[in-house]
Amino acid sequence: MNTDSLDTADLIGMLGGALIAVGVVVLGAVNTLTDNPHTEVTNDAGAVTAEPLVPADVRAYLVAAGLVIWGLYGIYKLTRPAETTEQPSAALADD
Amino acid sequence: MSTDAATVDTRLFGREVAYSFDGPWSAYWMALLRVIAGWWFLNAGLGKVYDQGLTYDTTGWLEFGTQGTIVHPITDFFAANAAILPNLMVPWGQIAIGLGLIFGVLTRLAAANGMILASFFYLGNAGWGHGFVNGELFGILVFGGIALFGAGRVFGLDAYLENTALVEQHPRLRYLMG
Repeated sequence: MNTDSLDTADLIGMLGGALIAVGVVVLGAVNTLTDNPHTEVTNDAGAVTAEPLVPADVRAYLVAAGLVIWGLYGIYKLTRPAETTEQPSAALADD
Repeated sequence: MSTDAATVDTRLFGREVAYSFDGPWSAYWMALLRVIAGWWFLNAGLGKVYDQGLTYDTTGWLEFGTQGTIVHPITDFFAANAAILPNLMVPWGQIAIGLGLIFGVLTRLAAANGMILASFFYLGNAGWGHGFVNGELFGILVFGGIALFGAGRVFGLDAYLENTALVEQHPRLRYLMG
């Protein structure tokens, strides 16, 4: 695949990784730096004693959105006509 | 050492990046990553088949294991309406993905399906007991890396399959290979 330049679809595909990084890293850092747990904390009676500032579901939806974008990008690439530069350059290791 | 490998020549974040997989350390690392990730899924699939036979009862996990997670509406639907699909596809999909990765056959197809399965395992992780960065997330990233770098061409059968007449007549098949 020719990767010398990125088209709009490639940039949208890369957005998937950005959403995953926001869901996992950025919002995880928000919870950590504000001294909040990452998930609900309950006591023995089952009552919620502490909640995260950013709910786990919000982070999970962001990660899921990123994964879906990657999946759609893969399907999009599969449906595009094969590029003529697709042939991998065959090079010998001991060249 | 001859590996008939791909050369990556790309542009990332505004910079030209060029490196090849024909170097011994790149080839070594890609092949190791592929085989270890392949064994992870092959072993998981074989364990299920040895345990329960041709189909594996996933309904407990689908209905209750994922309860409260964002994928529960999907997993619950399958548990109630089409349990045969995940019951077949989880063990045999894992075995097929594992074999594909270990032998480097249809590597990108195997890795992409590994990402799909691992995504459900990751997002169906009720309670996030092991945090947001856990084995499943790393599995997704490793599968993605294998697909991205075409690791099947390094000591894998895809390097040979890509040169067959069938693939040369249907070049789009390369998207599914290493």
